[in-house]
Amino acid sequence: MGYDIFDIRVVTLQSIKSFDHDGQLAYLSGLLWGLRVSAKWLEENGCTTYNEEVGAFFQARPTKKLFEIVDEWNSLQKNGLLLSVGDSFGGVWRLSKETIFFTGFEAGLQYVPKLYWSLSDDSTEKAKIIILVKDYVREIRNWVRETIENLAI
Amino acid sequence: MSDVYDLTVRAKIRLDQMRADTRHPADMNALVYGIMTGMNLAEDRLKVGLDKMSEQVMNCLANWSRDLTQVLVNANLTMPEGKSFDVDSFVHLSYRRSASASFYAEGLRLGFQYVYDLYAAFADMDDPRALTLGHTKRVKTLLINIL
Repeated sequence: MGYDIFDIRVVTLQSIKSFDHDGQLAYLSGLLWGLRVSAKWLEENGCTTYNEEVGAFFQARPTKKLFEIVDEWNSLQKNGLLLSVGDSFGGVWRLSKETIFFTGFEAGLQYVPKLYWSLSDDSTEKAKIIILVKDYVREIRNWVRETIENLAI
Repeated sequence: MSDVYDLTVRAKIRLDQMRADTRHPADMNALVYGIMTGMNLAEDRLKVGLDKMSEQVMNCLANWSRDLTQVLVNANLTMPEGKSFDVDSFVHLSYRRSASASFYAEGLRLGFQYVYDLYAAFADMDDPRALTLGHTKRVKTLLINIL
């Protein structure tokens, strides 16, 4: 069953080491949102693949406010892959550290499908794997939150 | 930047394999306690400045055919003067010589190796030892939750 997956906590610490304090907070906030969104898409929509459209969608709208882009994205979705501004925590980084924020966001979006496939095999029910993933992503998100809190002190 | 696998996911995958093979629950406990033991022992080494992985030491510590006194005497020969492995680092020591001993040893290797892989991943960052020890503490908590 399954295959190894990288330790996202270690990769995150490596990824943020060259950023300044605000950059680290922006990355972690983006990561938190990306993890939340992709875990929700997995749980509610059974989405087990990385959605590369959402990042590009934001990048193509550099001057719009976060909630406006989220509204636009949601209005275009036919498959139920909805975003919520309330999940982002990082709207504040939209203007000052956008690139870093979305790098973290993409990292979170990419991680959850990888985790799903690392835990999946032919014999285990999808629903069981989704529960495992959901629990594990909760742990990761707790770690991200703690790391943000430690940085904010 | 080097990558490192997620030990808790690897442990989950291994435990699922063992469940599929209908292994006794004690074997699974032995694996997890072995992992924690291996991590503790590698941390004992890291704390005294031994930041290079040693398969020889790992194999010595994982050898369940010898009694613990012999194992520690041999392993302590590799430690700096005045420093030694801590017997308390062996979590649930009774598994070491039990019918589940091979799983305890397997876990010990996994945990020991992981700490050094982790250290290597942090090597180019500030204070890799502190980062490694901080992270292993968290991983151990997650491992306990697996059981």
